[in-house]
Amino acid sequence: MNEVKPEKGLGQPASFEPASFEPASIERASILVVDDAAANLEVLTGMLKERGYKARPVPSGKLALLAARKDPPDLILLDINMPEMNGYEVCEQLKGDENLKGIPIIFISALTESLDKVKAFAIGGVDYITKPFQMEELHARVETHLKLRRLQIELQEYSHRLELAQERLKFDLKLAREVHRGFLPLRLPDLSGYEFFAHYEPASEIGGDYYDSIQLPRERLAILLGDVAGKGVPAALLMAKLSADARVCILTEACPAAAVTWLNSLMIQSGIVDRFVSLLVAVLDPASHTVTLVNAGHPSPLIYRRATCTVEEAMSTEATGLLLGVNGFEYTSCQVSLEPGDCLLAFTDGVSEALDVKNVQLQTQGIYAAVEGGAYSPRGLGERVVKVFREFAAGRSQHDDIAVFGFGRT
Amino acid sequence: MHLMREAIIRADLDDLLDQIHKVEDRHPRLAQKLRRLAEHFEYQKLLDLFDRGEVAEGLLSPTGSVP
Repeated sequence: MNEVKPEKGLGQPASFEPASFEPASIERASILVVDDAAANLEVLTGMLKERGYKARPVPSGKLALLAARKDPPDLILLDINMPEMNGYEVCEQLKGDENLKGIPIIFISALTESLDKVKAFAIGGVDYITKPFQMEELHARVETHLKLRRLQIELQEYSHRLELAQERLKFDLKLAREVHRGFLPLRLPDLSGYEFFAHYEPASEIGGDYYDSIQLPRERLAILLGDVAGKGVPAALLMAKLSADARVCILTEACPAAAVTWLNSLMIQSGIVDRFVSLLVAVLDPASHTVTLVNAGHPSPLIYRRATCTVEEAMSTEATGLLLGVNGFEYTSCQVSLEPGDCLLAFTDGVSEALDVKNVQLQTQGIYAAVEGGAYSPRGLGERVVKVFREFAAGRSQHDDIAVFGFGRT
Repeated sequence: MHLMREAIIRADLDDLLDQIHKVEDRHPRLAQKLRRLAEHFEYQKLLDLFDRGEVAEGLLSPTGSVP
């Protein structure tokens, strides 16, 4: 038992002017004062109440635990030398309780040995005040630890809210990916004398790649492959709008180049600014085995010539128009013919701009080199390009969506 | 009575004294005894009184006598 000595350290309650510290919160902070000496309890609770705290005096460790469990205080002032259960034991029990372990405990003791202080901190005390003490010093320390505790609670709450928001975002992104996937055709076109290939691989983040096939009059077929600049939900939403608008334009406007020009103007009119989309439209006419190509800033598709097992660009740079999103651009088209066994394969820049472990890009030339000289069916050619991409980018996380669409004469 | 016991367990001396004050008019002797114990932080003795039923008995007694 250690008596607080008011005459040396605390003085008489009436002689104290309240200190100028800001209260820890608008609601009075509740402080459990644990000391087996009634005189000490009386002086300490009087001082604390004078300074605006709600002081709850307790004469024993056992009753302190009971009080803390019933109504957890904001802070505990804890004497060490007490009969039955000393302050260290009380502290250990509080720290072992999930609901109470965060409450700051300030030891108040006449024990002045370093080892006593070290032990007090080791078992979870936040501070140690030796008796006799100045009330102003105790007040300052109490206020500091109350503020630290309040900040800690705020941080925990913030962190919890952040975790919840992150969970929700993950859920929303998962849903968005599923919706995004729903925009892609469920099955490949079925056209006599032709074989089709499609591959879509999203990056971890939702992106804006898409492909579509649209049946046109006179058995013609339009193949669309697009890539919205950027990633995330905005890119996916723009892709969704673009795919719907593209269907309208392609089905309504007979000329593919005019359809893409119209699509571009729709995009501009919708007020979408600083968003760009690359789009390749290939209209296959199986009667003439010709493909009409319109390119809005997309990597050129490749043509695989089965007779020579060679690969060439399907369209020149000059025939490639600007990205969708540039006001007033007039798109043009070009035409290629497919001989038996020939294939046309288009891919998004996620393939040609894939990086290896040394940060080197695959590039279109890398794709050409990897397929040049081999004998492929349309499906085999597509699978070969996907394999080349995977081998090249092995050991790296996929940073962009990849979409590959191809077809060819059987 | 329940509120008084709760105040003792919470070590809420101010609330405990308020509760005692509320019974003071009708049970002065009991209140005096409880107040004396409370002011000396004799919570365990107070709890024992409650647990032995002596407080309830005192509150039921017309004179407020303490057993």
